[in-house]
Amino acid sequence: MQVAAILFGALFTVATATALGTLLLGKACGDWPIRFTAGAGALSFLVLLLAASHLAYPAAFAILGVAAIITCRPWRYWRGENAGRYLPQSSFSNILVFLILIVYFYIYFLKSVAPEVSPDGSTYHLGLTALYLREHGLYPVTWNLYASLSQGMEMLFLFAFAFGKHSAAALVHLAFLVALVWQMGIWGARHGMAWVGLCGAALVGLSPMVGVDASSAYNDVALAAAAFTLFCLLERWAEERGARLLPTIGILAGFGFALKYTGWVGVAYAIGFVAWKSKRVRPVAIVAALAFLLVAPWLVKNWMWMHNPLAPFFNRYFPNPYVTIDFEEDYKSYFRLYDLASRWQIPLAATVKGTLGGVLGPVFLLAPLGFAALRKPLGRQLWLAALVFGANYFSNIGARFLIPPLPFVALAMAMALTTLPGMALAVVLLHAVLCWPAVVAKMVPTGSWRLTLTPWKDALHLRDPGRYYKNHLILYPVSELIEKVTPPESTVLTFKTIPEAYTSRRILVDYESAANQTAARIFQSAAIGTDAPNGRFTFTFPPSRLRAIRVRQTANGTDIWSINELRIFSSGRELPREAGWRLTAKPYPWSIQDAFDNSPVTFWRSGEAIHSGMFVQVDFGAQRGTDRVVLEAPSDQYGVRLELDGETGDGAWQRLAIQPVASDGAPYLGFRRAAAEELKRRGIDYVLCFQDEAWSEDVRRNRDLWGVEEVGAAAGGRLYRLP
Amino acid sequence: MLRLVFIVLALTAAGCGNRANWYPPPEQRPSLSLPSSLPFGYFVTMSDPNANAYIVGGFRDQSEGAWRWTHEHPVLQFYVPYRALIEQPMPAAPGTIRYEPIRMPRLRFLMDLTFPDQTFAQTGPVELTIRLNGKEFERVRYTKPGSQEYTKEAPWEWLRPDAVNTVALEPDKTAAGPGGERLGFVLTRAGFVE
Repeated sequence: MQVAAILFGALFTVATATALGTLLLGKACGDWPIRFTAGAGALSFLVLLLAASHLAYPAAFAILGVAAIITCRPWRYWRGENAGRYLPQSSFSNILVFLILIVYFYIYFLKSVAPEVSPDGSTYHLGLTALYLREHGLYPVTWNLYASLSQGMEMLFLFAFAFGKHSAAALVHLAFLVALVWQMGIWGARHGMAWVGLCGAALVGLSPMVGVDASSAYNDVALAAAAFTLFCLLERWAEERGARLLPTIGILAGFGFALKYTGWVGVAYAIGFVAWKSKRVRPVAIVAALAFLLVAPWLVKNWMWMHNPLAPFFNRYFPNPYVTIDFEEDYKSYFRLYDLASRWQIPLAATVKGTLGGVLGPVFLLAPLGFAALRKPLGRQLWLAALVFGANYFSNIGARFLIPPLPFVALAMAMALTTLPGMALAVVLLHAVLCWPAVVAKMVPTGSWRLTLTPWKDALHLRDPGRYYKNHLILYPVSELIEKVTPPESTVLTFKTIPEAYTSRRILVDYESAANQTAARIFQSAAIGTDAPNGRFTFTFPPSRLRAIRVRQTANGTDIWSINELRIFSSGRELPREAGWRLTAKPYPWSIQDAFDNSPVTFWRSGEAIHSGMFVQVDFGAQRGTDRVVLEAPSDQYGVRLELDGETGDGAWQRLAIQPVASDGAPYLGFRRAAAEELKRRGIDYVLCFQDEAWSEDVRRNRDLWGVEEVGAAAGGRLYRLP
Repeated sequence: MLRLVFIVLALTAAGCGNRANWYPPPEQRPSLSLPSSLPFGYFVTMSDPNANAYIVGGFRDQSEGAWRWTHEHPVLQFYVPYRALIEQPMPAAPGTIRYEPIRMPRLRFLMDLTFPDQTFAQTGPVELTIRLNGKEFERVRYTKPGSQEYTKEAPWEWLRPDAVNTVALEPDKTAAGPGGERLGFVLTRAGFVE
């Protein structure tokens, strides 16, 4: 029954997308892969509209799907003669390669239908999808930066998930690989190079990275399919100048961005190509308008909810409370190089070693052979497209970020290899051997994302899925535990990403938003003393009557400036904070109140590396007598240089003191309890600690001091209820 | 060009993103600090300008930065708040696992001290007798020079809540310092922590 629901969810999604693609293209293009991929863009947009209107119900999706299928009747446009024309000649080589592809796709199919266990699929791709289905629409998710990425694929997942849950979503992604490989074959055949198309399709279709990605609830292969379809449609439009192709081209270009930010290059490529070929405004306007239609909702959503249309990036240009600049820079910096020493290591890491999150397959080391295809116009077009769709690669050098340009590179390689008799077949056969899951397992390190053979009983859900999860998704029991022991609407803070797609509770992963990072720091400072407010920085100055004070940071460096409490004194007594005071900070003003709440566990943090011009300011609203300002803050902000200014009410600032006297403060008693209560105040009900985390032991040993209670344990994690 | 687009968008967005940049003071949390009317608290760092208030005797008059020399009979005094000595039970929730509450108190006496090479060369291994409110708490033998952290749970029945508690740190040997001064060890911080 479960498998029937999965298959129905996926097939209904594919059928609806194909129907919509048929509606878009009419008789202009009868190829199923193109209609499916273009229609998927349209379906994604329509689901987005439903979700934005809070109509994301299975019934609404069913009506949409049935209406699309009945209206468009996609089978009317199945051009059997074309399908036959594009099939490779039935030579031994063709049949052999075709059979190899069938075997691999059978493996992918079993993997897709089996319980979804991919790293991102089981966490945010489907976690957010499940949230949208529960909420019947889009939801302002400010606690998870991944929710700010464009979610065109999640909209398709939402449609499939409504009927077949997690595996249906994965199966929809696999449909994109089928469409891509098929399309590559058709492209070769259209150009009288059916063998090139088949070999290129095999190079892509057998790649371990492509296989494991496609059979999971990801979006990279969908982007590759959209990019290749766009390439094919542009080519056809250049030949036929069919007006009906232009809106579809625009939709596909926008769909690329909707699938993944890195797909923006498709928009530039489509507009540039049409402008170059037509030299007219109207065709360009049609493409740009349709692309914009699919791009804009994601920008608007982010603008409204995250104050940054391009969230979670470009926070320097669009400052917001949700993602800090220092986090963004660290994040981007890591993905630019991962753990490699140099970019020269990328070819081997991405094709053989698997240290970039997966492996494309060793034969892609032969990619430079594809440059031989540059001698032909088609080869040059392929390489241009590869360059365009690979243009973003160095912003994240993960192997799967090479999937979008891979079809173009593979076809160029095939063009070169087929010029030598038997060479293309030999390379494809070698590829088939080297990409076999057991061979890949020996090639890549443990933990590298790769495909495993799925027993058919697991794929068909005939065995207890718990066993499958235990082997493939080790933290699944944690999600199960959370679902079991916490009440609905609970919020859990965790320092490890867990399969949140399998729990309906709100999961706050420590790094996924500025608020989560703050909560995590509060917790860690109480447990292990990191960033604990053990420093006292005292400015003393002659008694003055001031309307405002400003603590300025004057140095440039890599430290992050933070203040737990800012206290102002007069004759040895602290000035009580009055309702009329006005507080601000530059940068990151949104948390300045945390430096004035009388709690040492909370803090204001600059959120970016120190530079001169940063300040924290208090306006008293009227003159107040004062002679001392004390900052309680972590003592290890060695690069920070502070000065204190005062303003008497005439608008002129005068320097009161330079460089405060630093001393150490006493550790606070009750700090753990205060931290736990503060997390609770911030809406967190539970904290999940794993035994390999540095703070885990402190919480386990000092539950009474924290005021927490352990409510359960699973997979090395202990779940604590906050007071 | 891209930068120009960003600047235009940023200027447009400025009205949305940074609308409320001034904030009033928030609700004040219960204080974790001791009342400022008390002359001293439960923990002292030698960089604290108020460190002298914790010293009953047996120390140099001034700290040298973050540390201070002890003499033959160093004694410190601390105020231990009552709230640190009571148990704060967790409210039970239906269906949750119950654990036996761990007995309070959980206060530990902690100190960071150093036996410099120069004085250790004179004294050799030093035995430190720690007395809490006059009762012998522990004897610790230090056989090597250098920085040490000492920490041990303090029996709650030995502590006086909301009152002055004394801690004596008596080395069995001291070294001869300048001007006939007897030097014990260097103290950086000491007091009660959770």
